[in-house]
Amino acid sequence: MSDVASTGATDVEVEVVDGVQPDGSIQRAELSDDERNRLFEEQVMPLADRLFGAAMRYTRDPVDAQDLVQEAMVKAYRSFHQYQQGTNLKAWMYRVLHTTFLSMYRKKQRRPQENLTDEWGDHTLYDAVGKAGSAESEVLAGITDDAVREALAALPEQFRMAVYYADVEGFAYKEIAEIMETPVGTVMSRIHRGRRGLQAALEDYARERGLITDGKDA
Amino acid sequence: MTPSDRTSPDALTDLDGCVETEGGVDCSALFERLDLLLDEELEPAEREQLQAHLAACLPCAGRADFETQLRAVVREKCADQAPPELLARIRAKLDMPAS
Repeated sequence: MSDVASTGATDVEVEVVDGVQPDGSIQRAELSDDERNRLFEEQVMPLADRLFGAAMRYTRDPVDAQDLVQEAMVKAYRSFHQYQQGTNLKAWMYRVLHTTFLSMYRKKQRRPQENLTDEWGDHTLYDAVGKAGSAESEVLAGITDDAVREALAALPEQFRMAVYYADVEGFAYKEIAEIMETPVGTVMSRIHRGRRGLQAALEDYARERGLITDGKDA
Repeated sequence: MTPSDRTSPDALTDLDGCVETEGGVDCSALFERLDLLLDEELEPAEREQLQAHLAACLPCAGRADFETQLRAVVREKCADQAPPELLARIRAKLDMPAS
């Protein structure tokens, strides 16, 4: 442990703290409290906003989402010494969020493992729009915030989160596999089927709103 | 393909008359790999083959374009702002001063 005794050090010079390299990277796993606070403040706190978006998708409730982010941040703070500086912090933090969600909520639900059928087949929104002869741009422009959120929320959790991480957060499959602690092949399958389910729900929405008008019955 | 209510048997009919491009890429091959292509998960060689197909095939280009735009719609509609009090709550919990 380095002995940084200064009180609320206003400008801790990088060179002062043991183990901090000139480029700012940290070599030692153990940080002083001041240093840990500073890094956490700089690197993790700015992620809170984005984490809230993911937490909303996990919990589907604004109050639960706040609780989840708060709990995940506390866990991240406590285990920040395990985070290897220079590695993928964002993926690490989302993984903390994921495991926190599992420990806080999934136990309560205990529903049988969501068995994901192929009910959505290979049908795509693009094909539905094309068959109906509707204007693609109008369909896309007519999709509201609520329509997307509700379509995502209706997907089983594992599909919902895989699609969210890929499409909204822009994570690579390998990162999603790390976050969700699952093989890359499983991630691919969840994203693929999740998108089909999402598009099926958006198609229903577009038909209800008259954005797609022909119909299977035409 | 599993036929079901949602899966119209001719869902892929617009793939008929499709061109086959270098590397044996036809429309159904493109369809199968489109997610991976748009997600930038392919090796350069395969990516180039699929892109060559998209450049030569109007229906597939339209499909790829639609999928790309749909992803942008999803991304845009799901942007959530954390309530302002959340950061304060976290700071209080961690005993960190407000910045």
